[in-house]
Amino acid sequence: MKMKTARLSYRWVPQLIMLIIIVLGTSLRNLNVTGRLAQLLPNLQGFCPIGAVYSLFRMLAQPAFLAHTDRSHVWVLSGVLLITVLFGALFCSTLCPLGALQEWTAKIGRKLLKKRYNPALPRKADAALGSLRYVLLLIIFLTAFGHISLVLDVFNPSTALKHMWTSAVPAASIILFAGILLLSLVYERPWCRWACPYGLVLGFIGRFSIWKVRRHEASCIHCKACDRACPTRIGVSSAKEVKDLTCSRCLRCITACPVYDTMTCTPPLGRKTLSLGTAAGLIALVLFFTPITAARAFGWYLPAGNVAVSAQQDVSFTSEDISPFMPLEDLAERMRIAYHELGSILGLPEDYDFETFIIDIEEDEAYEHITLGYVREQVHKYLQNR
Amino acid sequence: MKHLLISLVLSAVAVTAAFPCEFTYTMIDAQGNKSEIDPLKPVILNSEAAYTLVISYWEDHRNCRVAPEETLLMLDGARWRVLRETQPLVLSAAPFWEQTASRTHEGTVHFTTQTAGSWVLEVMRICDREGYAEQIVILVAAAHAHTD
Repeated sequence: MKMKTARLSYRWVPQLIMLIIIVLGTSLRNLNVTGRLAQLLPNLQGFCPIGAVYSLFRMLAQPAFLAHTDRSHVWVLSGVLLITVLFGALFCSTLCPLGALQEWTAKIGRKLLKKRYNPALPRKADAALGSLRYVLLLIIFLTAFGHISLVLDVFNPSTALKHMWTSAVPAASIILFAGILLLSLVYERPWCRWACPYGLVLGFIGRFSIWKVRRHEASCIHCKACDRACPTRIGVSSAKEVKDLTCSRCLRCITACPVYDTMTCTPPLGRKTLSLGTAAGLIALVLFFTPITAARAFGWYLPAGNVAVSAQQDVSFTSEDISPFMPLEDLAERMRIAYHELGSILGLPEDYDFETFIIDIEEDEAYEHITLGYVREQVHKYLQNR
Repeated sequence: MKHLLISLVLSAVAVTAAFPCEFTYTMIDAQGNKSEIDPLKPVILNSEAAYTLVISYWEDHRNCRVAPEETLLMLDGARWRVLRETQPLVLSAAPFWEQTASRTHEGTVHFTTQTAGSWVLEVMRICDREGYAEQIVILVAAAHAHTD
């Protein structure tokens, strides 16, 4: 029986890189800093656990959503899905900043509580807490499909992480974020285990991933080191293949296994030169940025605040898209023209209030003739001539 | 089994969201003759006559936050206003809405035809869900010339 030798894991490196990109990038954008550094940090819209699932559902509910949203959502999701299709929920353990913060807080907890850290919960209590993920998933689903109307940021600890010092963060989000960190001092990754809807979706997709975590019965000595190492208390020692939806592919079960080639992840990550954690982190980082880099190279990456509009978006806008409750300023933006130019098309003065809804223009006797039909007609003529 | 059940529930909820609220239209003339309106076909009305349009809709999305009174009626691209003589169909009074069942509302619109021609009545409900928009083409026949 060949026993393993331990190697240092540098999984914290990709985790730290992602945390810096997310927090520093958002902070610079909040401060309206437009320097070389700000340009270097990609705007990763739809990165957070709630936002990502919401974007995914919105794309399913209303594919046209893509035409009106920042396209960076798509590339961020593509990167995460690429990782998941290949390796399962590796994103959660290697790149998610919220996961990283919980993991680092856990180190303090371990020092404080030693062996009492991460105590096993009664099975029913664990299952009841775990069902929170399904509840959140359902809430996001109902919101995305328009059945209920909720400000999802109140359930989103990532909002607090990214925008902590701005006034835009709901108090509930800050309390949730602080609660998660405090709970991490006692339990491993409480948000990931019991509440994260994104982890649930990725865990489900990860069941069909090409490469999985496997246990080889023939060489297993049943020491249960894998069970003890698992932060989410999955019974790895009784499974041939880890299929549990809470598995975040932290690969600690593989590292903890004392027997060579008993717990494996195919392909054999980092066997030659790097530790498993380091190799997994680096691979996840490269895979995550592959779609975003490709999109940037081809000009398909359109983050929030980017004024560039693709030719497709211009062409897709027609006079029939004009809604009665569209403010004039929105119409000007969709037509990619200045307010005064729209004013001259419609016969409105330059100092007209462009926040007025189109339907309300005719309320003013002086502009009674500027009805929705008239606006559509004039815009149609303008677009045809352009 | 649990996942299959969740998938089925989510799919069922998703499917219901795909449908906008359902509208039916009935035109009633001064003699009380009723005719169902198919929005795909033009409605032919006599000139200088009074009519009642009954708009009935069923909320597919439940808990609709847009009140029935907020249903927009646009005539030839302009808001259909009460007693606006410049419009080809003159609205006699503001549409009256009542809730006839838990998720069904009925609006009654009284108007008189004034100008012969082809007019488009747009019925819109704008919300952050599916919303609703439909066009009804109304053909008002020219009045017969008096020969006495």
